[in-house]
Amino acid sequence: MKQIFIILLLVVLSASCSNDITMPEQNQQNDYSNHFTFDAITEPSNWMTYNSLVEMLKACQIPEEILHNIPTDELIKICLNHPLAFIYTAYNNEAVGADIIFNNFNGFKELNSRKEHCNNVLKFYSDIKLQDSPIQAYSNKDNFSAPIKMGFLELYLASPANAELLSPKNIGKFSKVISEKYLEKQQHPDCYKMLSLRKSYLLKAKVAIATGELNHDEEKSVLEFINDGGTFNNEAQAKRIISLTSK
Amino acid sequence: MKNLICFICAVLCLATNAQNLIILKTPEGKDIEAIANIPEMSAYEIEQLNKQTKNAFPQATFVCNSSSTYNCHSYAWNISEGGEKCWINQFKSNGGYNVALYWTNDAFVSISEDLAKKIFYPDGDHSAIRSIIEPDKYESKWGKGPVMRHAPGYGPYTNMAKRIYFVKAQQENSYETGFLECTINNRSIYVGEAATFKTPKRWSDEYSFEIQILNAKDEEDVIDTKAIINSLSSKEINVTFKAAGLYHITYNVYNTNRIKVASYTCEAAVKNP
Repeated sequence: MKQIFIILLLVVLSASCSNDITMPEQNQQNDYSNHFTFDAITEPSNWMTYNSLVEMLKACQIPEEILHNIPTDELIKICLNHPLAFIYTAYNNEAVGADIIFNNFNGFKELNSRKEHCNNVLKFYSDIKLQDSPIQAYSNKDNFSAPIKMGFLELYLASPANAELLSPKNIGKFSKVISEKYLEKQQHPDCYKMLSLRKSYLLKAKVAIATGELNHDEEKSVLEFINDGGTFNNEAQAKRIISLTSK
Repeated sequence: MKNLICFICAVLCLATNAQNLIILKTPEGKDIEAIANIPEMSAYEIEQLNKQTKNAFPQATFVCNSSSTYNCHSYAWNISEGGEKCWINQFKSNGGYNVALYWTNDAFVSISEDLAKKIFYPDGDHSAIRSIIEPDKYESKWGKGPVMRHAPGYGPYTNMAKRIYFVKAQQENSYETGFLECTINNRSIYVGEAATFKTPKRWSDEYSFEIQILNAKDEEDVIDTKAIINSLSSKEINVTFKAAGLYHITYNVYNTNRIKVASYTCEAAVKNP
């Protein structure tokens, strides 16, 4: 009886320990997501005091003491919720605009330093549930299906930080997710119009270059499109890029 | 099969939203490459982008709605001059200069900050116009975002401190106009009589002056033939006419950048004594 009791006690103890060991992120997830939001920084009376983009970017940083302990999925959400994430829409070359945030936010630097972050980001993107209407998409702050926010994520996926997704090991999975999301967008045309579809073409263009299946002229056209941040200058160019990236 | 469906859907999408390259002209006739008929965002997206911009840049004032159909360069150099809504990139699709053509041997000339009407941000790939409502502020289209009125260095672009300033070289109504007042104002001027024509205000020494005197009948320039300029100053001109007739007198004022800042005129009726 005593032995059974000891064994039972040991089993209970090891189960509770195992919970602590195997799911620290679960416990920490709640702790650290509550530790950091941009709310204090963007509180109007404080935010109003910043006189330039440089000052705003400097203010929008995660405290170093918690940065390295934020679970990766929470870190991705924090990055996407950056108060200035949308400024890429102000730039003629959206990739240049998005780079401003990628290069000046310690959240992205931390995310980029994590092993397997590319796969985490890809899964995050894959799991986004697209919405039927813009109202539904924009209604929730943490709804990353809003075209502007999703566009920011797609620009991040297309950035050099996630070049690993284009490696032979990952490119198949990357291409599959891009195509799935693209099809989903086309099934919700009221919400995901050409500006959103262009981000999918940008990602497809990166894959097309990486596969090496384009001839010299085709590659030149696609690279120009990528270098312009995924902008179409005219219908003929658009048709060409769509055709080349649909192979 | 899936790829084919995607392609067909995409082409159909394009067909209903066909943007196209167009050619605009600078005031002096140079070709500017622009993109027209760009599909517009949904009303809700426009509202969201307006809201996010206003919240993120509270020191700026919202002027008008976000739109994907035109951008900063088009707003500053084309639409504000009466042109159609379209998107103008800094460089042409072949890599050649595009926006810069407006100020390269064309209608717009480099000027000091205080006199500028158009502003180019070379590091930010951005253009703005001086606000008429608040002259110490600029108004610019923030990409697909709204037109905002803002302090020169405030906005979503990098290095907004670096700016180049322009004004239209001969902008209609950009200079002051008025009348010269003749000291002989109760009768005609006699041939051989010196008459003084005064400007409405005195100009400082940094300005230069040019006089034009034309025969009203045939617009012939009569300086040194039928009209002798005895003296010219920052507030008046003294002239002796050598022949009877009706003359147009114009007194133009230029700043140090050779931009006309004022033009005063009058008619002088000259008769034989």
